[in-house]
Amino acid sequence: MNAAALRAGVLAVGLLLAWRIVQVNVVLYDENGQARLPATAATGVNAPSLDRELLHRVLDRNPGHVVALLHLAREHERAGDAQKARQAYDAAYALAPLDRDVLGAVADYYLRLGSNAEAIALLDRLVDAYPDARALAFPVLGKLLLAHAQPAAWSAIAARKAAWIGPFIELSCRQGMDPAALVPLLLPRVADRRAAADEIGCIVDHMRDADRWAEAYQVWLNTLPRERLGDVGFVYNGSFEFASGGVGFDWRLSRARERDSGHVVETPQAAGVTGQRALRVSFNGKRQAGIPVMQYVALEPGRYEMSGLARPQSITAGRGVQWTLRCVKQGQVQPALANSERFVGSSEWRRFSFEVAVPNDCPGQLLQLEPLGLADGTVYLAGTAWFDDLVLRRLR
Amino acid sequence: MKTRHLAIAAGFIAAAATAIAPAQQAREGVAQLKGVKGNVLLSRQTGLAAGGEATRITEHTRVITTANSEVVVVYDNGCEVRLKENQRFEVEMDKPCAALIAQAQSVLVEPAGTALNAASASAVFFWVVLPAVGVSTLGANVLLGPGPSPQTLSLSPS
Repeated sequence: MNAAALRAGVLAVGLLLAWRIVQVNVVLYDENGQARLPATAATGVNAPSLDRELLHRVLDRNPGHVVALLHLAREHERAGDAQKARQAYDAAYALAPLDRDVLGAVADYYLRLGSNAEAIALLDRLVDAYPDARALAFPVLGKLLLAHAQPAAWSAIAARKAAWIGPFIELSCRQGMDPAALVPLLLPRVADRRAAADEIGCIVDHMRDADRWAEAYQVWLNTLPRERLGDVGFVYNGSFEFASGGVGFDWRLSRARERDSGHVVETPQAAGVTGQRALRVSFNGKRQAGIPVMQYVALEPGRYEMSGLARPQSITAGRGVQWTLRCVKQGQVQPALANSERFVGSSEWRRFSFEVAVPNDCPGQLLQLEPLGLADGTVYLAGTAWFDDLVLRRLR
Repeated sequence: MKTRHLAIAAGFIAAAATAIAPAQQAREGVAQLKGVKGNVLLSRQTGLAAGGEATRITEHTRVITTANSEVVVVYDNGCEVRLKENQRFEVEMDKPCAALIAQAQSVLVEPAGTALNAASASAVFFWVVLPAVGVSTLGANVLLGPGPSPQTLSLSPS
C-alpha cells in the first residue's frame, strides 16, 4: 500500500517536473535560453503594460534592440512622458528606418500626435517596402488624403511615382472612397502611361454611378491619347477604327464566351464601310445572354439624331436586333428613350437613323445593341449584324 | 476665241469665289481661341472635337480643357475668358465680360474634405481625420497587423 502510494507520488512529482521543464524550455524561454516576451504585434495602446525596468535591462544588454525601444516608447507614452516617448520612437527609427514594425509603430505614434506629414512619410515607406502592410495602412492613408492633410507630402509621393499609388487608387476606389479625391493621384499616372485600366475604370464608373457624369466624362477625356481627342464625338469611335478599351465612355464589347452569351463581337476589317473596320456581331442560333455591345454617352438635354450604317446577314431566328438609347440614373438603366428599326433578314449596307429626345432628368445615357425581347424572356438569334459609322448629331 | 475668254474669266471668278468663301467662313462665330496649350475641345454638332489656335467659335459652343492645358476665349468685342486645365466654358453673348470670366469653371470638383480644410484648417483633424486616428488609437497593432512578429523581445533567464 505504502509502496504503491510512494510510486504514485514519485510519478506525480516526475510529471510535474516534466511539465515544468517543458514550460521553461519551450514556452517561457527560447532555444537560446532567452525569455519569451510579448512581440511587437502587441505594442498598441491596449497591449498589456510591460515593466519598464525589464525593458531597460534588455536595452542595457542590447541598446540596439528596436522592439524593446518600441515597447519602452509605448510605456512612456502611456505614462504621459511625451519627451521620453518621442526619444524612444526616434531612437528606434534611427536604428531601423526600414523595419516593418518600426515604420508602422512610429507612423501610428505620429498619427496620435497629429503630425500628419511625418506619418504620411512613414506610411509611404511602409507600404512601399512591405506590400503586405497595405491592406492595413491604405485606409489610414485614404483618410489622410480625403482630409487633404499635407498636400505637399502627397505631391512628393506622386512626384516620385511610388509604385503603391496604383494599388492604393484601385483599393480605395473599390472600398467606396470619394473618387474625386483620387483623381489628382490618377492624372499624373495617366500622363506617364502608368495608369491601369482598372484604376481608370473604377474612378469613372463610380463617378458615373453617382450621377457625376460631367466629372466622369472629364476624367475619361484625360485618359485618351492626344490623337483620339481630334474627334471624340457624342458616340466615341463610332466607326470602330480603334480597338475598344472597354473603359469609361469607350465601347464595351461583350467578352463572355460564345457558349455562354450566344454571340461573338468583333471589329474586323470590312469592305464598303467608312474607314477600314466595322462592328460585327455573330449570333450562333442559341439562347442569347447579355448585351453584345454598349457605350455610355453623356448627352445634354435636347434633340438628337442617331444614324449609322447597317448590314444584317441571315438574321433569321428571333425578332432581330436594334440599337436603343436609355437613360441611366444612379447606375440604374431606365426604359428606352428611343430605338432604331429592327435589323432582321439580309440586306446590303444601308443607312438608318432615329431621333432621340433627351429629357432634363436624364443625366447620362447608355447606347446599346439589344436582341429584341431579351428583357421579356428567352431569345434565340442566328445570323450576323454589321454596323459602322454610328453618329449622334444634335438637332437645333 | 470669245468663248475661251469667257471660260478663263469664269475660271478666275470661280477661283476668287473659293478663296473668299473660307475667309467669310472664318469670320463666322462670336469669338476665337488664343494661346492654345495642350488639348482644347469644342462642342460641335456631333460631339466634342479638338480646337486649335484661332479657331472661330459660335454662340453656345462649350470649350473644355484637359490636364496641363489652357486657352483664352477671345470675344470679338474684346472680352477675354481664360481657361485653366480641366475647366469648361460655354460661349454666351448676353452677359457682361466679368460674368463671362466668372463662368469658367472646373469640371473636376474637389472632394468635400478639401473644402472643409479650406474653410477651417483647425477643424479638419477633428471632423475628418479623427476616424483615421480613431483607428490608430487602437494601437500599432492595427497597423502592424495580427500574428507573431518575426522579432521577439528576449531577456536572459539568469
